[in-house]
Amino acid sequence: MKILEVNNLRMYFSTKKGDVKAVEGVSLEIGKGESVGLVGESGCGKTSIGISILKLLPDNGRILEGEILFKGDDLVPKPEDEMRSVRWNGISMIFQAAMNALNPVYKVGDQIVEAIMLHEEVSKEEAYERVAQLYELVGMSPERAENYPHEYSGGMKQRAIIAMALACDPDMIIADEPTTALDVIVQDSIIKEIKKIQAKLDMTMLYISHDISVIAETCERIAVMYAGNVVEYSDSVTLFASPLHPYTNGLLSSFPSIKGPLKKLNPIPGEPPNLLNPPTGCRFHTRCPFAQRLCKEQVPEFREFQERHYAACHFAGELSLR
Amino acid sequence: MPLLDVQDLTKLFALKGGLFQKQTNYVHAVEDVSFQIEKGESFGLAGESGCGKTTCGKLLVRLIDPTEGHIYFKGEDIAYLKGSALKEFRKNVQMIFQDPYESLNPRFSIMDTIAEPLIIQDIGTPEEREELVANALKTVDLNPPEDFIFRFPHELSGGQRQRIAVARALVINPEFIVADEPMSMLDVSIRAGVMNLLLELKERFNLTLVFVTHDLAVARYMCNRVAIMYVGKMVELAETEELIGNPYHPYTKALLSAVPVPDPKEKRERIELRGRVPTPINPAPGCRFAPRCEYAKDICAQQDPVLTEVESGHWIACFQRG
Repeated sequence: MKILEVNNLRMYFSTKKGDVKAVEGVSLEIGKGESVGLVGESGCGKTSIGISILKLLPDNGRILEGEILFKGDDLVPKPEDEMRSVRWNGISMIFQAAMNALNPVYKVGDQIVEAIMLHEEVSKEEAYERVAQLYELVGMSPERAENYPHEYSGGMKQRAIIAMALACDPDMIIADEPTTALDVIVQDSIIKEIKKIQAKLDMTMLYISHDISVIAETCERIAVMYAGNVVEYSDSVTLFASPLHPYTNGLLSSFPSIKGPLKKLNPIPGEPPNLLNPPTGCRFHTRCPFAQRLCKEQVPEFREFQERHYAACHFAGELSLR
Repeated sequence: MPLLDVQDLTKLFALKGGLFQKQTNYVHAVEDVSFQIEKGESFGLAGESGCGKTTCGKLLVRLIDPTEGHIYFKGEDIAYLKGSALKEFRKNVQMIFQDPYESLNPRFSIMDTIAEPLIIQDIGTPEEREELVANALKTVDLNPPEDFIFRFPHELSGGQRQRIAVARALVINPEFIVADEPMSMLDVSIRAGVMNLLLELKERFNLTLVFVTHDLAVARYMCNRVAIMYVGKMVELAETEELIGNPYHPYTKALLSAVPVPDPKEKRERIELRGRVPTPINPAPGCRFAPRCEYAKDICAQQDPVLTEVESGHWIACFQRG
């Protein structure tokens, strides 16, 4: 069953220099209980999709087109007061560097209780009881809820943020770079915790990251973004073994690995485009080693090639990649 | 004779106490570190944040003064050089910093930035300098140089800025370069290009490179030998493939097991560590890793293990070797 379906989403930011075309014609479906990774370089629109789903856009951001169906219900036309009940209860979000956004003068537990009581009709005692359960769930001792943020290490803050995201028992979590600022050993333990919780609660996850190795470890399915487009979407194993889009291929060949034979890295030439004036046709054609005239002229359709393996490339399947 | 011979290098940072605090506390950033680097090597200093890897790198180029110990550069102790002798030494060494958004002066044109070391070292006439700067730009693949020479950092992308930083380091033709996480701020597709460039330049100019990094996958790609640091101490040092394939030290093993692998089929075996990284302020005697080590015995808490060669070229600081 699909829990989230994004259809042809277009989201722009207006700036003095013109519109930044941050999300252009993105379609994505996520099944219940699936963990989906959204991977791409900075500025490719990963976070923009996340905040579009929850409609937490800044004043200059607007959705021009498309549907965001959450459990069959379109979120795009929903007014703000209805969105408020979708956030936290339906979908909650772990923001990038959210651990630095804990209020330093309140006890961490109180901050989670505040979130629970704002969204649900529960007594204070019940809310505190739930915080204790949440702390157990994320692998922390419940007494730590009585501490202030400065008494926590980075990893513990991130665990508290995950507990907070789970506070109202959401159907889905969007996690935006939840381990990016952490050291590798701490990152590893948080990834393990997230996977454990995901399996235990059958949680649907959208995991946003620039790091394809973290995504490979956490997610069953991967969507690759480039310059505002989702260019490929499939299960992780297929994506790594037989990518269809040249950008996916380039991304995979520019990542060093600690395992396996030492391979020479093949960087993608050039730089990501400016989304004020993105290239015509396929946005990747300026850097693509296989680009033809067609690529410059026509936007490739996001097509299903095999079952649930989508790609947006005119020549997908005909190229020799990997 | 090794190009660089480091003996018992120590750097303590004094923490300013209150007015009436009698005892001054010290951050033991680097403590009793000894190693040698041969000419033409690419040597990795790796570890988690706060382990002293950057301090160690800065000591090697004498950006900071050591508290104790010796650094022999081509046989001459440069650890306590001052004034003109230090300036003379710096003709041979350069540093590349982590963040190209902060390491370039925004008010300096690219010409001013790259020519600055030449001016400081009083090399060439203004015309010759312009020639040297143009050549340096060509070396880092910023072609044609005329397009860049009169621009300012804000006009360039992150990858281009880091190439400028590399050009600035190369322009006085140094023998020895310390690069402090030069990729970590760059995007994946750009990062691979800068990595390949550095490797290529190292070969071309027979440079000796010290590479400070937290990312072991990057260290594997860039370095022929890697040293692992933990809270100011060097715990293991070996050829890169040997270190990754055959680690001895329990900390190295745990660190390696936490590195995510860009392959969804790979099932890593995790080694979980209890506790967290201790503070480097007035650390307890004994092995710094002992409180978290599952093999720790009484001796580990009492004596400092010394970095010893257990196999040809493989050094470890642990009482339970093997």
